[in-house]
Amino acid sequence: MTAFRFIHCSDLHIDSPFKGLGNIHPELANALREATFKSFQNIVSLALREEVSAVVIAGDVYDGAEKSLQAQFRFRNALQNLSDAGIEVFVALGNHDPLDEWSASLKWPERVRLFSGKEPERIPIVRNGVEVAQVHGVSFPTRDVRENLAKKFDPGGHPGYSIAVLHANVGSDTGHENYAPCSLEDLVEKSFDYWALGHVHSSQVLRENNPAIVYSGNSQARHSREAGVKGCYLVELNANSEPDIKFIPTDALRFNTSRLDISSINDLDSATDKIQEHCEKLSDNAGNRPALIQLSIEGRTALDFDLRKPGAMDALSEELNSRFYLREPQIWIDLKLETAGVFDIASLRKGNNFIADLLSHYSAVESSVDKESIRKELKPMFESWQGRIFLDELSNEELDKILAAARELTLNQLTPPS
Amino acid sequence: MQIREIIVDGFGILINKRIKGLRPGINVIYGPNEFGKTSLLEFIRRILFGFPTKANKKNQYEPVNGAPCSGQLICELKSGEQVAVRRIQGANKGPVTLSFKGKNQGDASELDDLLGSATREMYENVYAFSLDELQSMQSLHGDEIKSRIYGAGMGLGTVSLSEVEKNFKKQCENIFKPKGSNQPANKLGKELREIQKKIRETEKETDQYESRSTLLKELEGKNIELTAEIESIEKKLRKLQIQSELYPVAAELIHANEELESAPDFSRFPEGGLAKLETLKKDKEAFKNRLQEEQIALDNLDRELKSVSPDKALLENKHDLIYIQQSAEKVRSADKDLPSVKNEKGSLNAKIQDKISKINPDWEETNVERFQLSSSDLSLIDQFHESLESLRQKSIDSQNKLSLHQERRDEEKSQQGSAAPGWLKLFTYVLMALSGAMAFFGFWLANAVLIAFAVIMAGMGLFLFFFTKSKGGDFKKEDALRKNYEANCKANSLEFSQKKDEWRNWLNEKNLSEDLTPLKAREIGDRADEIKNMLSERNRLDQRIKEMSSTLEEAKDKIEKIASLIPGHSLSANLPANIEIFSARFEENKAAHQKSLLFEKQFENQLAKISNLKQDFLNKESEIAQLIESASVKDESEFREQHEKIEKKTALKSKMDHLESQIKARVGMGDAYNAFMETIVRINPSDAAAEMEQAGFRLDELKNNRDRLLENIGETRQMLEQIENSDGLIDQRNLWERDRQTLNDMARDWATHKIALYMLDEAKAIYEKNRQPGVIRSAKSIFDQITSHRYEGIFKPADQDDIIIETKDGRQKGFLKMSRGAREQLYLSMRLGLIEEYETRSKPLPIIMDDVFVNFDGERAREVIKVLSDFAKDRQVILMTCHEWTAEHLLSAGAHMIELEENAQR
Repeated sequence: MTAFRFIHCSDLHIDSPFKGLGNIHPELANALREATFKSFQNIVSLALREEVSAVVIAGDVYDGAEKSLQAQFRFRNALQNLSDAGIEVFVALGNHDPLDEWSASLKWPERVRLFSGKEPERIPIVRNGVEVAQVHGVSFPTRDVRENLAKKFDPGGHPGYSIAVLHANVGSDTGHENYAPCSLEDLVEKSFDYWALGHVHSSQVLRENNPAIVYSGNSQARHSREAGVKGCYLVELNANSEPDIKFIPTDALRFNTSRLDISSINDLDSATDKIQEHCEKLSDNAGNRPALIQLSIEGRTALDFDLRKPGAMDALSEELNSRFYLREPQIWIDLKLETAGVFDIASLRKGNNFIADLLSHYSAVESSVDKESIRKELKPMFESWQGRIFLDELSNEELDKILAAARELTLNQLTPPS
Repeated sequence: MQIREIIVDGFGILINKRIKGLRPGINVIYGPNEFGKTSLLEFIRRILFGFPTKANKKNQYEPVNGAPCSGQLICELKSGEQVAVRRIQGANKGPVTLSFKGKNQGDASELDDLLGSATREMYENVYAFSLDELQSMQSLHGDEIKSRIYGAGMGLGTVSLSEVEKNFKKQCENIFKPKGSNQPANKLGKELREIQKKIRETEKETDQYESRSTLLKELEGKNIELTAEIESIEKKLRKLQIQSELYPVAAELIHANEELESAPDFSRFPEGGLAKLETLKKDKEAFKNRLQEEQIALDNLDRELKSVSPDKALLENKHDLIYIQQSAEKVRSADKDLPSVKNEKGSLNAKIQDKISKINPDWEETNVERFQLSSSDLSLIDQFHESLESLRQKSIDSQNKLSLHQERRDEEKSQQGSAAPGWLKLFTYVLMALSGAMAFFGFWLANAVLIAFAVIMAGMGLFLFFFTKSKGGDFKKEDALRKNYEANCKANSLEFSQKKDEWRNWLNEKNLSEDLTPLKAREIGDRADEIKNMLSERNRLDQRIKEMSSTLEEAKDKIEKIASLIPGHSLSANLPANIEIFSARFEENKAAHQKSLLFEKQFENQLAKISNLKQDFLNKESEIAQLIESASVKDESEFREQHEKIEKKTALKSKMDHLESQIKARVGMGDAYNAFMETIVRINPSDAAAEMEQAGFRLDELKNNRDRLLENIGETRQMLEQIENSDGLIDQRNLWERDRQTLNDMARDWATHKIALYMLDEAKAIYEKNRQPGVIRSAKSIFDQITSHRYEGIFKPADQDDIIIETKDGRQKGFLKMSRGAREQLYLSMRLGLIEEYETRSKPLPIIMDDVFVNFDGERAREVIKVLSDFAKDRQVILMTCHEWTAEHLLSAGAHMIELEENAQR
């Protein structure tokens, strides 16, 4: 039996916006808007270049809360290229793009198959009259599927390689919603060669062989929690050896989060240079794709006083972005200030003065349980303002952070560098 | 630093004052009112911190003696070293000099070192103050002092807490205001609501996609049905249309066919018969016309021939006529010129005779003809002329010379005796004698030089001698010269007369008058030539006259001869006119003769032409007859009738062809044509028209329906495409996500500032309760002592620059609510507290107070003095007072008393 090569991807979320990025350059906004779709186009290009036999997509093609027609059309149009090149495409839909939300008027290209939402389907792949492989799969008929779909799969006794495609939450994992939950054992039980899974956004090979169980992760990071390299798997199934499972990055834009300690630096120029150097290193790791770097600068530095002045961070970001503007590949930077002043908090606390009182009061509030007094202060914006509905709720964790920031800010103002 | 001595050179009312013996601890300067305490206080301040500029509105304390302010302080440093600080009023606070005892000098910077970091403001308000200043609220409100008092214990350095708070508050408000609309967060909230609304709208639009897709399919199905129906009706309509259009054509065709079939056979009629007949008839007519024309021409010729009749007699004498015609011009000029030529000859002859007589009256024409001057004669004449002229000149010249000589001799004779002067002759002889003597002595002495001189002098003497002699010789030559001149004169006149004789001989030879000069003779030669020319001219005229006469004669003979031939012709006297008349007549006759010959020839030709034409005409007539016979008709009119019938039949045939092709072009050839022709026969045109109209109405209706349908389809399709291709939703979602994040970032920034502000507030309350600045604390202990612990405490609110007193019963009093005494005590306490706080980090400076206790009651004053004694243990305090009581109390508390010396010794 000859080898069978295919691409496994999932969670394209073609129409989804980037999260956690406010106030960005319009050009970057444009790049971000196109990134998810471009990433899928990269997968299509990869498939054409590698001349794979099939592309398997394990759900969440789009993201929209409502029907995302435009994403559907873009997806369909991209698939046309694969179909035209004779590549089979199998799509098992997930919780974000269940069957009942796809447009009925969408005409799928010839070689594209959507699995039905009733029972797992088996679709053979026939080459020169020989069935070389079969692909099993089932789609989410609606968003909320809480039953164990994996159990319904039946590999049967067919010749050729067998691949199962499913959007599911394996294990009680993972910070992801528990759709179509199943256990690893449920999957191992079925004698497929390869389980192509979707739903979890970080790529991971849960099992190497017999069967191989793989989450491809999403193809493009869209917020800081997804930061890092994203892509798909290029898989080669062989009769006599383990599957060759190779991760290929396809993200159109590398989303990185990083921290940089600038405590040894006391002037803005050196800090800017160091940040630039740091970002360029990160960009080098991203290959020739543009990189978006969410960088927290931290450490105790005399610069803290200047950086906390209104507009100072914007100016720094602007300077860096202008340095990167003509760079190839492009770097976009989103700076977060987490530095502290050079003051020695421990000795300040020991003092016998106002600052010592202030610090001990901060400690008292930080160690209090409910922080109700603090929340009360924030009421005008977070509870009574009309626009509060657009604000994320402040977690206690976040409140601690804000408190710490307020302390730094105050110390910064009360003990300016001499 | 402490003051040991105050030396005032001039400062306000203080002139040459000196205060000595100032010590550590309390010093009391006691003096009466107006002794200059305030001036002294100000003097010390200004020596240490400089004089104000003149522009400053402060009292300048100008010395009464008019000099600039100046003076010095002798100070002792902590090390025991003494230094004199001297300052004179001037620019830049006034120059200051420091003199260390037995050591170097210093200037302002050294003084700054001595004063530590104390500023003028600090010193004036805290260290050296008067009662007025103690009472003044302002004196403790300078920025530095305030920060000293209020910031000292907070650990904030120069940072202003209220400034920081204000800043935080501003930051908060710059982000968000609960009721605001222009703050970025407020704006963004509004924007997000709008985006949300837009997203909902777009989503709603998208929802219509499915229903519209279904609708599109339905509409497209309808369109296909409708299109098919329209096509079938159109086809039917086209068929009816053709039938109705071709009906008249077909009917005409059928009718023509019937007509053709009923026409007789005309096959024997010659082809192109009528055309041939017409041609022949036309030819015949042409011949006839030409015959008539030629006959007329013949008649004309005959008439003209008869009209021409030349004169035969004249023609026979044509040689004579030609002759006179040719000589006509000659005759005319001879006739005209003869008299004038004769006249010319007569006048020429008279001129000749006149000219001859002028040469020589005896001469005849023959003499002239014979007279000839050859070229040799002419040269001979010239020679005679020249030699005669030169000989005459010569003879005159010698005559002149002779007479000139005669004149000169007469003149010389009158001038004789003036030739050589007598002294010259004498000098010559002396010279000669001298030379002889020298020669003698020379030879005698054998002296060569002397001999040479003698020779030269002898030479000179000789020269002079001969010179004087020769002058007299000229006059001796005179007679010989005159003889010579006379001989010449004679010879010349002889030669001249000989030549003249020769000339006369030559003239005789030539038969010319002897008196003639050679020049005249030459002229006669020329004149003779002229006469000869005139003679030959006269001969020529004679010849001409002869020729003219003969010409006239000959012409006259011939004319007369011809005139005799013409009966009745009388000659006129004018010969040239007669010639002209006869010439003209002769020319006329000649032309008439030529013409008659030509006409005769033409007449013959014309006759031949006419006979040929007659033959041609007959031929054509027979041809016509043959043609009519060949068509088996009896005459021309029948021939024409038959031809017309044939023409009609041919036209019918071509018309049928045309109709047939018209039909075929619409319905097709072959079977289609045949089928159509069969159908058309059976058709009722009015029924067909009604059917067509009905189909037309139906078609219009269907087409309108289809247009509406297509429009509908287009719109639906466009809407679907728009939804398919629209990135609007994705755009909006991106924008929404971005703005939301921006808003969250802002909210967190706002929260940070808000909490910072809140925490500051909280900490302030804690601080005010639990801690106070060091100054306040020091001041409080002093104040407690002064007031015998009458008050519970003093404190300063963290965010206000005020001091609050708390009474035992818990009431708080602000500054303004205190009594004057209490206020002064509080401020004194504050100053002392401030000095204590200040001197923890700085060098001590002398403290100077100007009568500050006057408002204190006895007990308080005593307490104050006690406090001061303690305070002055390690310091120098200088108290100035004019109150005896104060001075005494201070003395009893151990103060050192100093009385002001007047007119101090310098």
